[in-house]
Amino acid sequence: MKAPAFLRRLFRPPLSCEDVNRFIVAYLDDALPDRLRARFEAHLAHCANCSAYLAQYRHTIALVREAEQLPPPPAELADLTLAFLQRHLDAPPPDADAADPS
Amino acid sequence: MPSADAASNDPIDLEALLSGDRQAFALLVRRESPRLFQVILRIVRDEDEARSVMQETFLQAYQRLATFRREARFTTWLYAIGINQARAAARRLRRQDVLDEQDIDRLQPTFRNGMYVSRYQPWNPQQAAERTELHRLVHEAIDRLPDIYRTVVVLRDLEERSTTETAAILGISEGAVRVRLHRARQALRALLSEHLS
Repeated sequence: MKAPAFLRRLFRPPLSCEDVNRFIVAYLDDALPDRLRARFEAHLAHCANCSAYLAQYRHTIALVREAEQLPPPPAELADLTLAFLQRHLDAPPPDADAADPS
Repeated sequence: MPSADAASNDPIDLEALLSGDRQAFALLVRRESPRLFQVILRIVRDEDEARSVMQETFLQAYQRLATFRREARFTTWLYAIGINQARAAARRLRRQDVLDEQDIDRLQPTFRNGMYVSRYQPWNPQQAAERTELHRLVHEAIDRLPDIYRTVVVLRDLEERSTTETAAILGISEGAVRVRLHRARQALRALLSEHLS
């Protein structure tokens, strides 16, 4: 017989470090359901190792964003692309001369 | 191709675009060039190559307009073409020391009885290498990621695309995007850790 929902919640085992690790992406995307998020945060509150790992993980994302900043692309980019398209779309097919009987 | 007014915020007429209207396509080129160029540049890492890949992307898109199925946004379809081309170019230019799947496995944390085997401490920015040096290390670490991981990092962490949009662009499930992103971030964390701990 299945136990009532409130009893299942009461005796739900806490998340392990491995569970917490598996949910990091969803946690940072704010995509965890409320109850799971609460269990995730409850684990972090008493697990210094998971908190430190998550801090390093966040730091990695921040460093990637900081190091990969790009300057604005060259202003003539679209003009060059439009000129390229004009050349290629208006060019006669490669064998047009050969096919022309005149 | 006719010139189009990029400053205009008018929506691009999808029906005109799909019928091959060059004015509408020119507007698309002006609107999307800056962002598409940056995505491609982040994958191929070379400005000349990125420009060439982007031009080919627009050419292919124009020539394949009839194959657009309307299942995704038009720009998602355009980016999918661009990213496929960029990945092919990146494979041609690829570094020698790109990690393989086993290396990525080794860079993941390990667990025993549900607990991390290693002990972690938050990184200390004071102990970090000088900023410029640190950025170089980050570039190197990203460049060593296999193509399927690097592309997800570019789309999710740099371009800040949603999981749904990233999945649509790459033609994979949202679950696969999350798994690849997590493995990539964990591999980067491990590669950077020795310089920051």
